[in-house]
Formats: sequence, structure tokens, C-alpha cells
Amino acid sequence: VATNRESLVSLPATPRQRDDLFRLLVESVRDYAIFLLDPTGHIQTWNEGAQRINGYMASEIIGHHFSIFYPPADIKHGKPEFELRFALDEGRYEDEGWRVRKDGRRFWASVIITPLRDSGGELVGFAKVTRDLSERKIAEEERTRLLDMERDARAEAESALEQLEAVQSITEAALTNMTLSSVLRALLERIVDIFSADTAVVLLVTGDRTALVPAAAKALEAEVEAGIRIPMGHGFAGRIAAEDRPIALDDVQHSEVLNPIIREKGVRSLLGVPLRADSKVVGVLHIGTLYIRRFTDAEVRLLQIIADRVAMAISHARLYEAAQQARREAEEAGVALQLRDDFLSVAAHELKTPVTSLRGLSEWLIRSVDRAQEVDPARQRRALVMINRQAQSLTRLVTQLLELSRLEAGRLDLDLQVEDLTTLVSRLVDQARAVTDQHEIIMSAPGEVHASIDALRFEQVVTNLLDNAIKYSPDGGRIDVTLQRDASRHVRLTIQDHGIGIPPDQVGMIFERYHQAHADSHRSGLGLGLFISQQIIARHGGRILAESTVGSGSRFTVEIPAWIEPPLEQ
Amino acid sequence: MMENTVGTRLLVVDDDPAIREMLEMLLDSEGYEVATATNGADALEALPRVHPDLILLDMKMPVMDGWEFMDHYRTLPDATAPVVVFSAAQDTGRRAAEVGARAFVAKPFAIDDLLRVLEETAA
Repeated sequence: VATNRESLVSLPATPRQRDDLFRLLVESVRDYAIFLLDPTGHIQTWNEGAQRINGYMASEIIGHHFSIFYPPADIKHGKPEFELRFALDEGRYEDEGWRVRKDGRRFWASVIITPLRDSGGELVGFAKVTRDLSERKIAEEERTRLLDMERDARAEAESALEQLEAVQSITEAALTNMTLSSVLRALLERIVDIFSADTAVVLLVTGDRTALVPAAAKALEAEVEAGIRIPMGHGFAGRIAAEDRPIALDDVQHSEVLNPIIREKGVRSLLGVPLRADSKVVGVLHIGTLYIRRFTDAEVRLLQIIADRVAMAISHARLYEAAQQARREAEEAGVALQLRDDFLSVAAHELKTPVTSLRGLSEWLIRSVDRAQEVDPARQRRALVMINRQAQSLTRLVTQLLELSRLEAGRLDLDLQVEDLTTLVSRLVDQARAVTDQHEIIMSAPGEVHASIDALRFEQVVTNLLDNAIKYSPDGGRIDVTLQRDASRHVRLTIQDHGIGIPPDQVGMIFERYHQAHADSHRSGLGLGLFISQQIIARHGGRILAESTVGSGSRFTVEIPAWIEPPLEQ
Repeated sequence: MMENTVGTRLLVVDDDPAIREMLEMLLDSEGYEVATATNGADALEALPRVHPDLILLDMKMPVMDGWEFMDHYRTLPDATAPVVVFSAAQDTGRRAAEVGARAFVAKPFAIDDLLRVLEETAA
């Protein structure tokens, strides 16, 4: 402190001397532009620093208004005047901003403006001190730019990572699901997640390439169920497919969207992209939001990348399904072929049985005639009766085979007439009684019961059921045949035996073609009887049911619509 | 009528009544003494009563089929009668060999063939 005081002591003594010294100081400062303005802003003094920073010589600039240092936009907005007014009001104005050099180049200036007053408080002008901070400013801006770049790069990397993860999750979903519907469901679930969307739909181009149909949807499932067809080239999805390009709709309310379900659901914005496989558009993938959203270019690109994977998944799933289908068909064909082979071998066996008797009996008769052998006429007659019976049995088998081929070709036509079932069934029951003396066949019917039937075919069914009842109760017993007309306007015929019954695992299959419930233990013909019966009854608009308990018998029920007398015309 | 078949006792085993009756008529007029059974079990039961010289056996029958009958028959001490398998199956010969039958006749048959096989087998 003492040293400072000593140095002060050496300063010139008079005020005049001090003013001169101070002016010298100001004029020689090189780092700061220091100058005086008159109260209206005109430049009064100039110094070394001002010349260096602003580029003007004192002689060039003194008398000019200080707004000459400001960029045109600032001048237009009245910045120089504002600064003086602010300095007056507040006692000081401080600012950093762009200023213009004599040569037109800009520099970043730190400015302080201070009003100057005389001893009476009257404004005599302003002191303006300016420093050139351009280098600092440039460094700062460079830093900011670098920071921004780094931030952008990081954001880009993060978004790339997110996209990669999104695409990866799509690929995973595409690989872990095999059937088309499960693939699409899993993909849409993820797509909705990735884009924070509210809806997502996959539409596929139809085989004839005239339309698109929804194949899977998230939050728009009704679209799939409704079976909507979007014509190619029309509406939102139709245009995406026809033009093979992404389309974004910022607001559905103002766009051509054909699908009413999208509007009903309240979807506002849509983004859709084509699904391409083998450079062909195979469908459209679109996502939607319930609020208005502007999809970014990056989102459009990402959805297209995802769509390419979805299209690949669709191709794979279709191939897989086609392969599955082919395998199933091959298996079914194999099973059908095996059934057919088995059936042919059964059929051959069944046909050979009556033929064996026919041939044996006829050869025997021929032999006796040739040898002029004495044969008991009663035995001869018996042989002829048997020949006749075997011929009938053979005829039945051949008829069944013909009927099978007719049924398979869908050519079993009915000749419908209104008949009294009581009369018809009674006659058949009498016939059945004639072939067995071991069974007691009891029939009950409520008088006449009319139905529209093909009498020959219906007889065939009833005979088949009666034959079965007799055949499968080898120890004899009672067989109940009941004819009823129920309240629901059906005729019901039940045939109940007390025979060996049908094993539970067989009951469900006895109406199947070629099926023989007792193939091992009982000769059961061609295994066609019940199959044909069921087909005949079905063609009468009815049905045939079987219930059975092993060891206590079976009950077959035939139901067909009753004939309703049309009202008499007056 | 072959003299050497007269009195030969034959057991016909078949589940089809028409075939049984046909064979009865046919073989009776050839001099055979014919007994019948409807299946394998029935045949086993008939054996001590009939004492057949020859058995004509169908294979596919309810209750007890030809295979099972043969399994039992071969264990019997006095099972000396040769068996002729008589079947409508495609491979009657193979079946006959399987069960150890002496001969076979495929259904349907010509009377002469049947008679020749029976005669040869009984001899």
C-alpha cells in the first residue's frame, strides 16, 4: 500500500496536467475502443483501440452517428437508439453482439455505454467502451457446434440401435412363428410397440391381384372379421399397393380412406408401406394413431425396413403352410388308399362267399344231371332255393358297391313320395321275423305316421338296422321297434336290441365308410351298411344316431321330418 | 363216386351256413360222411364225437378262427386227421403253410378240384 501511495505521489500536480495525461492514456489503449458520443449519438473522439477494432481513422469517423457500427437489421429495429435510451434510464447499458467493421466484416463486440453529465447534471454525451470478443465467440460457437454434433451423433447412434433392436425383434418374431396367422399376430404386436402406434393392419393382395383383404390386425380386428375387400388402386391401402410406395395420412378425416372401420375406431393418422416379395407387391402394412401425428422420414424408412421382413415372413409362412398342406394331403391320400385297399380285400372276400355256394351248388346239380344220378327232389329243390338266395345276397352286395360309388360321386337321387311309415316298417318287421326264430321282434306305432320318403331307400335303411339287430344279438332275445312322432314335427324310429353292443371306442366310427365294428369277431359284410344308411337318412333331411352298451345291446334312432298336411284350400 | 372215399369221415368248419349246407349235399353224394361246425370252438367240441378222417377248415370265422383252432388242434394227442384249409383270402396257400395244414382249396372252387384235393389228402 505504501508503495502505491509513493507512485501516486509522482503524478503531475495540476488538473490540467492530469487531463492531458488521461487523454494520452485513453488514446493509446489498443485493446479497447474508447470514444465519446454527443447526446444524439455522434462520434466525438477516437482512440487507437477504436481504429484497430472498427477499422476507421479518427478523421474518417468523427462526426458520424455511431449506428454505422451496427448490422442493417439492428439499425432497422432501432437498436442503437434503444441502447442510448437504456443507458440514460438505467445509468449504464451493457451488451454483446455483432458489429460491423469498416471493411464490412463482422466482429463480436462487448459494449458498455455510460451517459456523461456535467456538474449541473446536464447530459453532455456518452462514453462507449467496446472490446472485440470475436475469437472468444468463435471458440464458443465452435464448442457449441462440437457439442451439438456429438449430441446428434449420439442420438443417431441411439436411434440406430433402437431401430436395429426393432428390426431384430421383428426378425425373431418372424422366425419363431410358423403359421401365417400366428406370424402376423406376433409381428403386429411388436410393430405397434416399436412405433407407439394404436393400430396396425396387414392386408394381402388377393390371388387375382384385384383387391386387398385384411389378413391380421391389432386393435382393428373387426376389419379382418368383416372380410373387407379394398380394390387395388383405390383408398389408402389400395393406392399404396398399386403405386408401390409409402403413404402417410396426417389426418384421416380429410383423406380418402375407404374402410369405414378405421374411421369408426377414431384413427386420425396413418402410415402405410407396401409389402414386397420377389419385387412384387404382396400386401400393405399400415400403422395408425388415434391422435394426429406427423410421421417422420426416419419412421417411414423404419416401417419399410420392417415391412420387408414382414413380407419375407409371409413368404416363409406360406411356403411352410403349403408344405404342411402337401404333407397332410399326402398322408390323407395314403390313408384313403390304404382304406380302399383294405376295403377291396374285404369286398373280394365278401363277394367270394356267395359265389362259392353258387358255384358249388350249380356244379353239383349239373353233375347229378350228367350222371343221371338219383337225387332226392327235395334236396334238388333245396339247392335251387339256396342258389336263388345266394344270388340275392350277391345282388345286395353289388348294389351296395354301386351305391357307394354313387354316393362318392354325389349321385344318389331320391324319389320322394308321402308314405305311411307304420305300414312300411310293419312289413319289414314281418320279413325280419321270418328269418329268425330266436328273436322276439316287438313293434309299437301310434297309427299312421306320414313322411316324405324314397320308400325303397328308406326300406333299405330299416332292413339294414333290423339285420344288424339280429346279427349282433346272436343269443336271440327281444328287439323293440318303436315308431313315434314327436312334438318338434319329427318322425323317430328306434330299433333296440339286447345283443353284444358296440365298444365305446367304436360307437363314434360305425357310420364311417368301410368301418367294421366287429371285423375280428363277426362277419359284418362290406362295412358299408351304416355308412350308406346314414347318407340316405341325411338326404331325407334327417339323422341317425347310435347308442350302445357292451353286453347289453344297441339302440339306433332314425329321425326324419314328418309330413305336415298342407292346410286345405277353401 | 370214388370208392376209396366212401365212409371217410369229414368235418367241415365254416361260419357261412350256405357253404356248410352246400358242402354237406355235395360231399354226401360223393360218399363222405359229413359233419359240420360253425367255428373253431364248435369244431374242437365236435372232434371227440365225429372222429374225422379229414378236416376242411375255413380261416376267417367269429368266436374262434382257423389260426386259433390249429393252435389248439396241434396240441391234441389224437389229432391225426389232416387239415385242408379252405379260404376266400388271396393267399390261401401261404395261410395253409403258416398253420401246418396238409393242403388248401381256394374259394370259390371247382368241384373236381375240391374232390381231388380231399382224396389226395385222405389217402
